[in-house]
Amino acid sequence: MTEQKPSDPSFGRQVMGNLTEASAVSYQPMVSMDEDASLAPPGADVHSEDFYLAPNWKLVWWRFKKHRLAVISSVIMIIIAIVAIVPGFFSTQDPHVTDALQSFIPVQMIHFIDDGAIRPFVYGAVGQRNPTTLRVEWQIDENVKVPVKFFTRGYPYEILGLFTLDIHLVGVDETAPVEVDPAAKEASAGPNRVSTSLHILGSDRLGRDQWSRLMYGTRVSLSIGLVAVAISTVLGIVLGGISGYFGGTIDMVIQRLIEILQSLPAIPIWLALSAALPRTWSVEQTYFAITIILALLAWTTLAREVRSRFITLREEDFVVAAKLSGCGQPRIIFRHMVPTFSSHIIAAVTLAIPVMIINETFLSFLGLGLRPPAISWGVLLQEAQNLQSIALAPWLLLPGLLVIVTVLALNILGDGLRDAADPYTS
Amino acid sequence: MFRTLVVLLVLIALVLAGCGGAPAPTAAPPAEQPAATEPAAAATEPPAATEAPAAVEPTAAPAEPAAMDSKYHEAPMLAELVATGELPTVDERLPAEPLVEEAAQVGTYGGLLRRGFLGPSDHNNYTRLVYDALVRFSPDGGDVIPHIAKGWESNDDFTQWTVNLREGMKWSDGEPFTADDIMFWYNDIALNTDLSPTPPGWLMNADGTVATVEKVNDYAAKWTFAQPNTAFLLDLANKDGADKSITNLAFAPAHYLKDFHPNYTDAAALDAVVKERGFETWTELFAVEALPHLRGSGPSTAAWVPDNSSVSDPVFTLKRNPYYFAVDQDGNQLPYIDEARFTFFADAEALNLAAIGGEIDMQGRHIKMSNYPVLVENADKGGYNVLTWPTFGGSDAVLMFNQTYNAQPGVAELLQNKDFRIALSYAIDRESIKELAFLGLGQARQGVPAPNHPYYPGDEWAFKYTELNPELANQMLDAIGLTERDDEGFRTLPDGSRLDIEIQVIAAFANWPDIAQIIVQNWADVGVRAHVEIRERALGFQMRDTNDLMVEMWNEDTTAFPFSGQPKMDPRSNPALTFAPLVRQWYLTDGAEGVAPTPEIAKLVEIIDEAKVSGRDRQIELAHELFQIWADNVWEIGTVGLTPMVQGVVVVNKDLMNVPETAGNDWPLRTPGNTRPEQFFFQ
Amino acid sequence: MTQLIVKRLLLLPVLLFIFSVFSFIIIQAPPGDFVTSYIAELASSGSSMDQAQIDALRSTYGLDQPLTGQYLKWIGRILRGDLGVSLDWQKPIGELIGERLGLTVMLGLLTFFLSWALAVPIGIISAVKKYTLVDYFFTIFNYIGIATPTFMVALIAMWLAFSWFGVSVTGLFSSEYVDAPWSLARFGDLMTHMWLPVLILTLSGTARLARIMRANLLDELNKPYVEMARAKGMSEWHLIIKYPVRLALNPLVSTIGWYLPLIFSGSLVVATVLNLPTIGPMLLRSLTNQDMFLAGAIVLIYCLLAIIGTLVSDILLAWLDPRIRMES
Repeated sequence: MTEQKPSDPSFGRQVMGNLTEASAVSYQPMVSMDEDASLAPPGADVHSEDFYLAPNWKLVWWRFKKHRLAVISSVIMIIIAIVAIVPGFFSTQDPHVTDALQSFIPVQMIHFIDDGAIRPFVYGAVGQRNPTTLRVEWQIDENVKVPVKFFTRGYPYEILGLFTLDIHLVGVDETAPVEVDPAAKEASAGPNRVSTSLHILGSDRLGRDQWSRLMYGTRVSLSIGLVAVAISTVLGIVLGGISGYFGGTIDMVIQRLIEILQSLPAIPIWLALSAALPRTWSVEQTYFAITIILALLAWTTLAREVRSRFITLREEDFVVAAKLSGCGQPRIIFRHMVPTFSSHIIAAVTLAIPVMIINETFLSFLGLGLRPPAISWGVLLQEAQNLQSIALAPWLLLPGLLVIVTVLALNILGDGLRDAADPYTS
Repeated sequence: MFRTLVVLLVLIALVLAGCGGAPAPTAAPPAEQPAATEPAAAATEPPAATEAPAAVEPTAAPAEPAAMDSKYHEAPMLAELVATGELPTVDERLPAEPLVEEAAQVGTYGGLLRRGFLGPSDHNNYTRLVYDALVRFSPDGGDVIPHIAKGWESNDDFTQWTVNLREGMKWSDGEPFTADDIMFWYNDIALNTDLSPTPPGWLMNADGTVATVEKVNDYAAKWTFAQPNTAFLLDLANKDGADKSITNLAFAPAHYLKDFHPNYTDAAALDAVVKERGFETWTELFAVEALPHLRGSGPSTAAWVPDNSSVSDPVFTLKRNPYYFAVDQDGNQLPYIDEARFTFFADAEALNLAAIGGEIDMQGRHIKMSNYPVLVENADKGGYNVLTWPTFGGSDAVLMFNQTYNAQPGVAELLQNKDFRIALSYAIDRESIKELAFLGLGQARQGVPAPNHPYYPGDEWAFKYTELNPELANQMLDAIGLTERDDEGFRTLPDGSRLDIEIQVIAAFANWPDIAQIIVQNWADVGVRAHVEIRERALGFQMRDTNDLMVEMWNEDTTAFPFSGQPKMDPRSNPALTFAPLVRQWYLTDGAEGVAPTPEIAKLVEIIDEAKVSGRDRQIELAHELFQIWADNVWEIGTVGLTPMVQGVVVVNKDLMNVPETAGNDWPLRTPGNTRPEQFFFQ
Repeated sequence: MTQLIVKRLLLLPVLLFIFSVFSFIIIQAPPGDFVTSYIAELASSGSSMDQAQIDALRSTYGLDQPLTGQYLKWIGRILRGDLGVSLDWQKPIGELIGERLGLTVMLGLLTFFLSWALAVPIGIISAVKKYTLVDYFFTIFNYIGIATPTFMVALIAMWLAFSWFGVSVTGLFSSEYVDAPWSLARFGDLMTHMWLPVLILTLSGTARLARIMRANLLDELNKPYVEMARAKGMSEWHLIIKYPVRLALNPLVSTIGWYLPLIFSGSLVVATVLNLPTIGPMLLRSLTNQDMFLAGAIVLIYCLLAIIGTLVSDILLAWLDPRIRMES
């Protein structure tokens, strides 16, 4: 039967992408970047005592360090994680504040050199509604230089709901007096528009700052990914563990459950489930529910892997020894068995996060996930998916780049971790 | 030689028309149109002879010698069929007194009108294009004019209405159209409890009985109500039989439908057909067969009839009705255009993209107002013009305050507090809304009719409470006792509990969610906390019914029709209005359930009921009173109105003529049906 | 082997029953019914219905009956091989799906073949030329292919087409061919529209497959028999193609079964963005419109395909791997 297969058929499910065509990266290792990488610490003598005495985690670390792309990726992920923790610090404006006269401002470049001196600034911009097309057209006004400052004061924001700060990484001095050429204000249909603020990624149709929205979206999207993966990991380990450790009827039941869940075509089920979410729920409840939905459909692969490991491990000497010394079952499982493959789990989890992120993006994009005024990457992209944005404000598609970078970094990181996870094998 | 002949013929036709060879439809006695408004009457039917001569350049004049004797002309494609004997001559096809529709420019025959639609539930796309009703609203929406019906008369107290049909008029399959077709609808559809579990609302008498319809003769049918009914014509103008349910008809092809009705056909045979077509019951089959857009072929009275395709197909094609009963001032049988084609698009965005690519000839439906700039920028490349037809009065984004909300007593009390609503109205920055959501178009106003409409109550009421005045708003809020603030700086309820107003938004038109977010911010500026809840449509509508909403954003259209259909000021309307769902229940159950109306709301109902039995002058007075109460009480806070938000950004092929620069635009008018698409033609 | 297949086949009706109940429940779960969502849709295009019309609709569609009754009616028809009539489209569901099925399968198959045709050589080259420029290039390509959500690619493609050429790349047919009968011209027209979605879908598919192919082949290349063959003087390419590649392909081939449901559901997002007349967008629409019979039928078909897919995969795997064959 299936369990003794050397090559688990569930493998195929991951390969073909059980969830979305965009996201088949999954728990199982697929390719190694450094198959031949030596076990030795970088630059160290292979025969040095350090190597033989080093604890497991040190070996993992040495090996991981050799994977340069993975190291770079982890730096990127750390930065993104910091953004997710304190989006307020990185944003320039309150992401929810609208301004009728600041809509559709294109991307503003920060110039660093002003008259030969390092003095960062952005040009001001003047906008007019074209009387024929009714489109608001922005023109850069090179006479107006708005100084850009770092670690400047701005709108107050909360850090993890603990305390309030108003220091921002970058911003413009709102009080700086800026003169705009009055001639430029002429010939505009409707009120004049003058921009002397900083819009690194431009502004959207409500005059909200796209950069700041992206920062806040990062928090939501990343945390959905993390929480969903956490839940599915726990589910996977517990159910897979039970299944593998105890075997018998309970194994049978769990295996059939996994089979049913895996037979469910994920996309439609998922759409239907999301559509079935009570729409009376608040944004937060929806957010939570979507996370759970993502998790409930994703635990099966890990469970299978964990189970097969348990099946091999339960006959191992050290487990038998632990049993004979009278250890309780939970202790055997969690103290003795799980740690032997924890590094694999970490790698698998790292590879699962991007899948979740893409899934959230995808759901929100179809209008079935988070809804405005919540901000997530999916919501941002969904708002950009219309003719008006694509034709008049293509910069609204830029959040997609961050999605790509994040998923890329997490994938490379996961591969690096996985390669490093088995320091004693080659 | 040929040319002179043509001119001569046309002139003869003109003279005939001018002399009353065909009676001018407006000849119908004005007294019988109490509810219709007058100003249009003169404009819609100018004397025939004055306009046409300049335009006389008919390239598709009668090609067949046979037709020369006739005062009527037909499309070349029909002339060919006549020549081969497949069709009777145009004289035989037209009724004795065809409808003469004055065209701004006499057109030429031929061509294909391309439109886009979003699938079967978008059948109104077709309904509105053909506007196939006994009587119609005029192009500017100010008047009810004859259409299939030649005319009408009523008795002095408006309890009896006789609708006169056209002698010799035929269905698109050549069968005669008579009063029997009205009687079949009345007896076998409207009164058949299998097909219509409840009789149509417009036939209901005040005492709960159903109005009677009798056949007077082959060409006249008489409606008798238990009380005066001056909304009759307005109702009749909206019975156009292309709804999803069959209860919206006022006539039906009896000769065709008898085969599908158990009263006329053998039950076993019918059952077999039902099974064969995959249905469960005969009513399901009948519901499809009764409607041309579902049935895909068969008899119709519209200018274009389905050409073996239905709204369920990816392409829904209509071809000209050879028996269409209308001609232009030169006696050319309408429509000018041979074929109309609806192409399916999975969503409105794709349809807009096609419009930009010049793949659509004339359409306002589903064209998004926010795409106006993109449309105009690409107009030359796509070979089209972009017209704007502003909404027919009202306000295009209003906040409806639920007067019967009861989940949170503290909040409910505020929602019912007039000063609270006025203060919130003063807090709204309508200029910003105009800029952000309406491209700078429109004007700040409450939900009252347009200034040129007789029902317009005056500027004082239209602009009441619409100026931005946060100071005044703050003062008023303080005055009603909302002085306490929480640690976030928002006002709390007098008992210190949190005040958070939910604004439900359904993304139906324009950028409503965006407007709501601006309003939330505006209200925050005066210390009132609110949040936007964007809901999926079906759920939002259900929550209205169940009285779960506090405030909802919707639009205030149909203000020009407060006394017919489902007006937004009538708490009894359907679907339930957020304005007062429990009052609706109270009225529907005769006071057994729900909440009794406040004196002001009861007054609205009283006015509407009186207007339905009053003559025209009194109706105008009543309308003024209604809208004064309406604007003054701000149960609905109006924001910006008179924008082309609802199907008002119209893309028109540069070569398509006779599309008016401006037109009445509202659902009861069936726009663009009221602009007479049968007269559109390609240059 | 036979035992495995029989067991699976016996499980099929049970699974289908579970899925049918499940799909019916989730489709019914949203508040309201088809008529509610229809009224809402009408109001959102500026029109309304009175109560009589609403009552008439509910009774016509049997929506006024209890849920269990509706389910039994539905499942009863399905057991008779009749998928029922769509509430939204007023057309037999078999007919509706049939129209779109061909295009969906075509899109799926083209994507399938193209991604295999690209991925296998890429995987082989990457593995054989490990750590060369070529390998790094493909590795980066693979990572990007995996990291980019397909709908992003579709959106960007739409934007590029619009801003550079001012054309729309949506749909699968030009307007004149939408309803035309099949002809060479119509097929040609289809192909001029089909390449873009196929390309977009191929991008991620290829990346994934190539990654696996490379890993599998590397495993094989390290095995002693390869050294042995090499030592015996077999030409390098001949050797690689003959033994390791075949072995490396085995696990991949065994997953083909999993493509079966994907052929139908895989293109859903891209099809939605690009407005393709395939099954995916129809499912999405039926879910939002609460057209329960149509949505139920499509979900059920997906389930069925998924089950058959698993079965095919298991059989293939067993067939390819003698060790498993031996066991049963």
